[in-house]
Amino acid sequence: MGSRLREDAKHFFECFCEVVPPTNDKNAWIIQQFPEKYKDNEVLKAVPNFAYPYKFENNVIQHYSFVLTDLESKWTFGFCRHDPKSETAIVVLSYLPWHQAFYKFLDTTAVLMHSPRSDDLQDFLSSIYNARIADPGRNFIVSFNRGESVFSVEVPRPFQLPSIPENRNLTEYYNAVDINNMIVVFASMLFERRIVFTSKKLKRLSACVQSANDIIYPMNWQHIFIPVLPMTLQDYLLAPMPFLIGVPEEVFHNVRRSEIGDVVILDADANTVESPFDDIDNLPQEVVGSLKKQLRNKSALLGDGVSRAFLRALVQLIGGYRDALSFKLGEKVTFDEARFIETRPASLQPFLRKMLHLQIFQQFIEERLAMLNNGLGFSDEFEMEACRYSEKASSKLKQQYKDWTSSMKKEGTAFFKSVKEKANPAMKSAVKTVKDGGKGMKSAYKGLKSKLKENQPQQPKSAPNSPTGKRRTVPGFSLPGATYRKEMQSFKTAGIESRYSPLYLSSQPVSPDTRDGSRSGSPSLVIPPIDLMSEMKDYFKLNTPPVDRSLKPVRSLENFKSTSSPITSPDHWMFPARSGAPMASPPNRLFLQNLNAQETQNLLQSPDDVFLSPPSVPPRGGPPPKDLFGTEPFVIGGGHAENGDPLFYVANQHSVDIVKLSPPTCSPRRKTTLKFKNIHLKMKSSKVRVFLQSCCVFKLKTITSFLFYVHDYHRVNRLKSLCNQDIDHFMHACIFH
Amino acid sequence: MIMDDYKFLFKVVLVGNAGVGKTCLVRRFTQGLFPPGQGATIGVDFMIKTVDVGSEKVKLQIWDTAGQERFRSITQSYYRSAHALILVYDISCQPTFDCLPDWLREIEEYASSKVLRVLVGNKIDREDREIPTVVGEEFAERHNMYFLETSAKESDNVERLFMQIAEDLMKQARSRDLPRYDSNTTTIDGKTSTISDFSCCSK
Repeated sequence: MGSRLREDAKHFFECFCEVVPPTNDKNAWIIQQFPEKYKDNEVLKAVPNFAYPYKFENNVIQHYSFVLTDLESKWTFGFCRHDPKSETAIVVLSYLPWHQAFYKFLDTTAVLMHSPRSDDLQDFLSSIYNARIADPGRNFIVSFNRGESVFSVEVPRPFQLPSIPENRNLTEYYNAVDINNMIVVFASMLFERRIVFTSKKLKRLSACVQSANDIIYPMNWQHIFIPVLPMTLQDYLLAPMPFLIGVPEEVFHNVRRSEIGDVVILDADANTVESPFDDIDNLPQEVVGSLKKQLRNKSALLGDGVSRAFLRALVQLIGGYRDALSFKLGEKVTFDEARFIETRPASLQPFLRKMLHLQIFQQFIEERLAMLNNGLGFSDEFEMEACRYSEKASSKLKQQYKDWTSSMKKEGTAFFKSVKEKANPAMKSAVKTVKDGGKGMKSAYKGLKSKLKENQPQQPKSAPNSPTGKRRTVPGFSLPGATYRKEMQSFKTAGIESRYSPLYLSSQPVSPDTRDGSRSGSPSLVIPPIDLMSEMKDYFKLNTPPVDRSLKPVRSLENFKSTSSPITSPDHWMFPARSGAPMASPPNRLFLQNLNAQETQNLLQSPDDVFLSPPSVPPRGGPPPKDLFGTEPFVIGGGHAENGDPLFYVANQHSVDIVKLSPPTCSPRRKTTLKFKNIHLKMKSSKVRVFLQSCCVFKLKTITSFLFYVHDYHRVNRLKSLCNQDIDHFMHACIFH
Repeated sequence: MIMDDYKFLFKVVLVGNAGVGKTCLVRRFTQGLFPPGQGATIGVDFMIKTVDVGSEKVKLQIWDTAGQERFRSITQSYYRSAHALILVYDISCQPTFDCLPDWLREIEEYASSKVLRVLVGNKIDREDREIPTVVGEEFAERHNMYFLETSAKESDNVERLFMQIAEDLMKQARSRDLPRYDSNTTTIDGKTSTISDFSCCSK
């Protein structure tokens, strides 16, 4: 199958290890691990090497990830934390690629490693290890510290495109590498080159390599994939097959370039790419053109703008695979290569002919066919984008597929069943995920509901490194957990723990780049009023066409760059609560006026420096007619909170507020009644009372639809009805008025 | 990099169904792994052996990718930079032979390449042979490949297989009749090596 992720993860993590650095006469080694029953010796042998890929000086707390590939070509992720104050590194191995969640996990672990109660760490690890992983979109919550603290991370939803700044890997990649170079790398990947990324920073290196692979979604790199290459494995750079390898600069220095042959080299520190090939020129120029155009629009790049731009390029290139599907009743769906080429525009054909011979493309087709033959239909982000790209063709295709599936079903479910049974377990659960995604609203709704439930105050939410955590109940942290360290006497550098002062230990050893780790809880937004409404009214009055979908991310910082007048009191804008995250610096950064483009880009240096901003609307001048919107609030846009909760921008005459989506008040199953209920949402520092009709979800025949209504007390405006399954699309719909 | 003394470096890629004995074949030839195997953590193993062809030292680097069964066929990018391709089946297992056309589908389309292709029927020590030698031979001939039957277990023909490959590639290299995969690489000291992948190192 195309995916290289294991779908059968039973535990949040597979193994946790503490690794002692190498010395002159000794390699790095594992001093302790959990669970002890984890016995994959090949992996355990490899871990120290990846935790210390070369001898390096570490001055800051650093997180990075590495990847181990097993004999079935499936990936195991290793997440690693180096702390200059600790002489060991901690590593957690997992089948789940949830970078943010694991960095948070490591931070929590780092604190507990110095708990005076020797069993705290083990308790924590075993609670997490034994806890069932929550469903996508829900929070994985485990209490520890004798029930006084809670570890909570959100389980990513399937097919969620990585966004900036939530996804740290992509944010890092975007910051380090400019758009043109990203496109070169993208092109090189589409030609399955041998590709090297290099950087002095392991964090940057692994993030860039991971993101480069994320960006070719729905394809998956099928070849050698080593986000961080240890010195001892440098010969892998000689591999004749395609590879994507992150080589720490120090390791790369050691390598004889002439032996490697022709490789594409991205220096992520210098933001340069060397390529002996003309891969960009060999891509269809219309695709490169529109990709560049989308990526030039900086304001649209926050959120999933970058991912979506590349996704669209791939839709343009290979979305047409659908035209080459043949649905013969009673047979499996097949893909006809010749027809695929013939049905494509002439300008794309030369490239696509080559593309047929790519492993990533073949795996892509296999995966799509497997999805279709399992009755899953066209349900992921890629297919949705493809629908948008070619709406007419899509509806025809969907009809064909519908006919095919219904005929297959008439013949009895045996066919689907047999296919499913044949499919390997990974596929089966992939199917399940797709199905969950496909059923879409139901689970999104469920997730939402549960999230809201979780936000109830009776549940303790604070993570140990949270400023709101009941940390005083974990006093001291002053003694090393010596009893747990069974091998302490053999640990040459034993005693280093004494360097930890109790003061340090009871504060949070959390790196600046981990502060966004927490995904729990809901941000309590403190939003001062600003006067945007008059401009907004002009905007609406002129009956301007709906906002282009491509401007999707509404949290554009760029907007603020050019908008000078409407923002009256920038000083007051702040989003202090990235819930669960310690406020290391005074919460006075934010709002940003008159930024130039460079500064806007710099804002992304760390995800912490980015925050939501309300959309602004170009001023049009002239007073609006008062009766148009009255004095009641009006939804002008939407987005996501840091923790993934949907947010709406609600404007009234004098201000724009950000409000959380209220829970749907009618059951998705209730088909007939559209029940409305006013939800009263009052923002802390806002004087505006916002009345917002709740979101209504209902089943319309077989299509799950969203209707969103905003009540202005005079009439109910039907904003937009969409038959999308994803809450995301619902959010986008809100941009349309 | 491993700085040993060799004149030519050739990269050989192994392809074939799971369980046909690809890894055993190479281990037998290299007499154990060098460097120690990383197949279970990198997904790809390679083994190196330096052999003498005539008076020259030739370094063979043999690459063995785990989990190939997930591919229906191997696409050309996979061996674009390889010098030889060994396609392996198990003479006692018909399905592994039946898959050969699938493996070859891509290779055939890449016919212009001069990548050296060798078909190997492995496990001739087994008594439950399902594929007669002549069937393998015919297949190889039809697809313009070398053919050899081996037993990794008994070490039959293993040495011969790799020596043959080394000699042939060397002949090609001498006559410059090489697949020019990654040519024109500028080496670090600025010299251009036209057959960079053959790494004419003479240290």
